[in-house]
Order: sequence, then C-alpha cells, then structure tokens
Amino acid sequence: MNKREAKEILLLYRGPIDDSDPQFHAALGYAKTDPELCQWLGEQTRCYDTIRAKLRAIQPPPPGPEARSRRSPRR
Amino acid sequence: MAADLEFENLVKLYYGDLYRFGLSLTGSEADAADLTQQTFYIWANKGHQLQKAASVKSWLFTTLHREFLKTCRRRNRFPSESIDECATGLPNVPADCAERADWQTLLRILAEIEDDFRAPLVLYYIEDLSYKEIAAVLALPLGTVQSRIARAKIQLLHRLSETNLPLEQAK
Repeated sequence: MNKREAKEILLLYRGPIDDSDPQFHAALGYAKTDPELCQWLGEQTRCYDTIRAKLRAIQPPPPGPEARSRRSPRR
Repeated sequence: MAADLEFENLVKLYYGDLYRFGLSLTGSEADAADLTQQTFYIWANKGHQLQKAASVKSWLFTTLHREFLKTCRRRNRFPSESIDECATGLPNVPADCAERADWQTLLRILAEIEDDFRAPLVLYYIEDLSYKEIAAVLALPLGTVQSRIARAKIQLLHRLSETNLPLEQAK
C-alpha cells in the first residue's frame, strides 16, 4: 500500500463508527507511520464531524396533525 | 415484533432523522415534510408486515428514498450525466471551510449533486449506518455505494472549498 492508496481508502473513514470495519485497518495502520497522511486524516475526520453536526442540527417542523392523529399500525 | 412499536413513539424517534434525510435529498422543507409524512403513512399501512423490529430504521429510510425516487420520476428529474469524472482528485479541504459553511450552504451544495449520488452521501453524513446498511437502504451493491459516496464527497468538498474564503481573507 502506498500513500495514495491509503488516502483513497481513508476518504471514506468517518472515525469511531468505522473502526470495526476491516477495510480501513491497513490504511489506518499506514497513516500512523506517515505524519503527513496522519495530519490529512485528522483534518478530513474533523471536516466530516463538522458537516455531520451541521446537517444533524437541522430542526424539523413539528409533525402535522395528520401524522399525529394516525393510528398505530395494524396488528 | 415491529408492529408492537407504538406509532407515536416511532414518529418521535425517527421524525427528525427522516426529515433531515428528505430535506437533504430535496432541498425543500415542504417536500421533506411531505416525504416524511408519506413515509409514516406507508408505515401505518404496511409496517405490520415487517418481521424484524431491528429493521424499522432501515425500512423507514428505504421507504422515504423510494418515495423520493418516485417523485423524481414523475418530475423527469433524472439527469443522464454521471458525476464529473474530472473532479475526482482527492481534496485537501481544511476543516475550517466546513466550519464556515452554514447548513443552508451545505444543502445548496448537496442539491447540486446528482440524485443517485446524493442519497448515499447524505446517509453517510447524517446517520450512524454502516456501509452495508446504507447499501441495504438504497438497494445497491456495497461497492457501488462506496464508490458513489467517495465521488460525491469529493465533489462536495471541492464545492465547499470554492464556496468559502480562506480563513485569512475571511477575517
């Protein structure tokens, strides 16, 4: 694996949620040996966290009366 | 089983997540609310058919996405061109660029990304779903989902970096 390949794999790495995904293990190991790649990874996961937080902060309007009055699903 | 979940609790639990997914797909608050309500309407009528309670979240996201695709077909909004192959260079976007963008800017940039690429990217960002789960929600092969997320993410980051002033100039 070279730096370019590691970067391509780690582009999808989101942080702890992906730690158990084996497809990232080798690339994460490679990043530990390469300070520049390690810095890039830190920046890209921070960027991911920021975008995620902003999108998740969007507040929906309250559900309309139609949805609130729906009955429970049939059993 | 799934049918045992109280409908009100289900709405409380997933309304926000589904709305945000709908808003990120459509870019329209009204369309997002319609899609979300339609999803719960379908759940109210068909949710009892679901055998695994643990699959409720995936089922709801899959249903909302299907309803979105139906809307797209009705509007003939499917573009034939794929995502810009030229923009697939790996980006080096400082996190500051994302910090300076508000959610409206993010939604506007997302809206510029092709529908087929936007849905996996949105799930990648806003939901705690594994890649396998995202693939299941969208009924796509795992490799296709990862490829689409990667390409869409590159496009998003490129546009984000073009949208924002460098930190030094922004001060």
